[in-house]
Amino acid sequence: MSDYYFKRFEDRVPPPPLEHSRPVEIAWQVLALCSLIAGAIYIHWRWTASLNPDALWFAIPLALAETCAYLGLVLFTANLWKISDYPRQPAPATINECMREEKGADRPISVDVFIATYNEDEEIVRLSIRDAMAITYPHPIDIKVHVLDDGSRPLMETVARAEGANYITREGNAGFKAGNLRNAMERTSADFLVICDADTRPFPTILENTLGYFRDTDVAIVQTPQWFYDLPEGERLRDVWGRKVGAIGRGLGAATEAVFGEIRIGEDPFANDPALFYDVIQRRRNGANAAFCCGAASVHRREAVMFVALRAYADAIEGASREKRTAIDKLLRRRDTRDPLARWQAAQEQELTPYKFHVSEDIYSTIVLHRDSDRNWKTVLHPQVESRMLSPQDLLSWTIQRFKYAGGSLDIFFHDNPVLKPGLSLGQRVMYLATFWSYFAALWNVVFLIAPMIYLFTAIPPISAYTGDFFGHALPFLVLNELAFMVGTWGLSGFKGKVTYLSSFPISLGALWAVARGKKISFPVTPKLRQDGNFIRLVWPQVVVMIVTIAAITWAAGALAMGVAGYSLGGLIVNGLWGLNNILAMSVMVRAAFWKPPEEREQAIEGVVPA
Amino acid sequence: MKFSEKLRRGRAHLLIVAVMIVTAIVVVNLEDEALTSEVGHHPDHAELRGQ
Repeated sequence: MSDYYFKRFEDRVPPPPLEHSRPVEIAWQVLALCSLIAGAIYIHWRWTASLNPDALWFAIPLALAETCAYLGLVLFTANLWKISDYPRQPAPATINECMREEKGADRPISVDVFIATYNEDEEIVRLSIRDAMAITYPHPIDIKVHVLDDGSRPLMETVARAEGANYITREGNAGFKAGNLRNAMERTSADFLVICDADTRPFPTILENTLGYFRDTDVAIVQTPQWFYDLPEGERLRDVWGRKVGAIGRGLGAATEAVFGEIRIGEDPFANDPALFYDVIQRRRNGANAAFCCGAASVHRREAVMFVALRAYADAIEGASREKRTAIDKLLRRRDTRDPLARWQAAQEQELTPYKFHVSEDIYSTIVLHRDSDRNWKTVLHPQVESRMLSPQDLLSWTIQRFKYAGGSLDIFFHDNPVLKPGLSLGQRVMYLATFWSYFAALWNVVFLIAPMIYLFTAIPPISAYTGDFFGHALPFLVLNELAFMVGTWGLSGFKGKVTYLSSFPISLGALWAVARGKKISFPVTPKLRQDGNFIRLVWPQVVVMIVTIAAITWAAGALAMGVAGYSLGGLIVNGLWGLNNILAMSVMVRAAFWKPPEEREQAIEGVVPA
Repeated sequence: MKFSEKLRRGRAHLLIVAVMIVTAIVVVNLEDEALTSEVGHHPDHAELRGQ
């Protein structure tokens, strides 16, 4: 193995799935319900008894933002309500155990492992091929590993062949990853597909642990959690302070850790750990059959993928033939609407596309499956990690990835919104709405960032009520909400995810703006290795928020000291703490822009690499 | 996973709760004192709601 930074993490093992404890789940549900009731009382009070009539320009947007955030909370609570793991079954021995109707002579199952690549380092792909070749199964099975190279690189072909994998490429790269997968599907024929990115390294057990779900002949896709095994582990607070200040620092750090528990500086600086997403959000969608495919590390039934393709093909012909029909009708001045000519002409122009050519082709395909009420396709989130992957190691890669997620989801929302279309169950609608709603949150998060600044600069309060009344309504809601989510995500740390959600507002706003203008979200490949450079340009909005908030706090403190009318110590404390919370959230992203791996930092200090 | 480790992972929620409660107590007391010194008696919710 080349001397990659992740070499030293090879021995890491993934964490087990969160234990399902019924008492903890009941505690979460009780707290969540109390929190929602307290929230409803608070929101009602905000609209009916607390708006400042002298500053409605400020009061109404803030109340509106709080209401939107509350609706997001209701959706998120519904998402997290209950763990309902899909029952695991033993690995099937033959294909007929996974089919609705037995077809002819029984035979071993066949599986194609697709490793999609474009421009990633060939040696990284080699590791993925080797791990894919090492997949085991308790019964006879036909596994083929295919490298799908959209970069048509001779070196990639050499590596693939040397490792015993099949090499597939094509002219151009239309449709990017979705087009790449379609091309591979046309050239392969196995019963099941394992989708891997260039850096996805499946564990030997991936098929043994997932193919059992397909005994249920309605199961179309099994998604396994993506696990980044290269997350920086950071340095203990006592060691950081000890290094900087000496023995006193070390002692202070140790004392702080004795009170609050272990504190690690620089741990997972980009909040990449997807455990909250897979082990909590996606896993708890199993009950509503609403877990969606995330691409890498998922197993697909070929029949289901082809079903999606045929459904999309039929819909496309239907849509296109309607247009053709109108044109032909106009031309021939006739009224017969069942025109085979129009359908034939439309069919000639459509292509059968197993995975939709879309930046979020994985979630899109899942939606098509879920919407089909005739076949009742199911998707499963298997809670156990079955592969390892590399995480974005710099803010540019991270931003590209997040922008693709946000832009892709919002594009679906605006152009093919499943929430309002027929086919989905109520539970599925709620889950998809929760996903889309989360990307709109940047709109109200901006209000939450600006609101304390406005008060601190102008002394104009958005709320006109006795302070005791305000806290009497707000505090029970806020406290119950914090406690509910602590219990609801018991065993995971959600703090970094929460602050990143707030501080990544420019990405979501950018995606929203791009989609609203009808701009197509591009498909750039997320870099798999660390990109060099200064990424401060990516966080200038966060820096502005920090500077203006600090200025606002300073201004208000000065005004209060000078006895300027309208300012109060209480107002300064509340809005100052709110502003500090915002600064803390922004600082996580700003720090990430400057983050360097420890070894690179040490080299820079020693002058080996320019800082 | 040990209970203490789970608690460690959830500590941010507890810290936020503590900060919010302390802030609320301090601010309400400050405002009450200010109002008491202005009107001469402890503020009553119903009395102040219309302001």
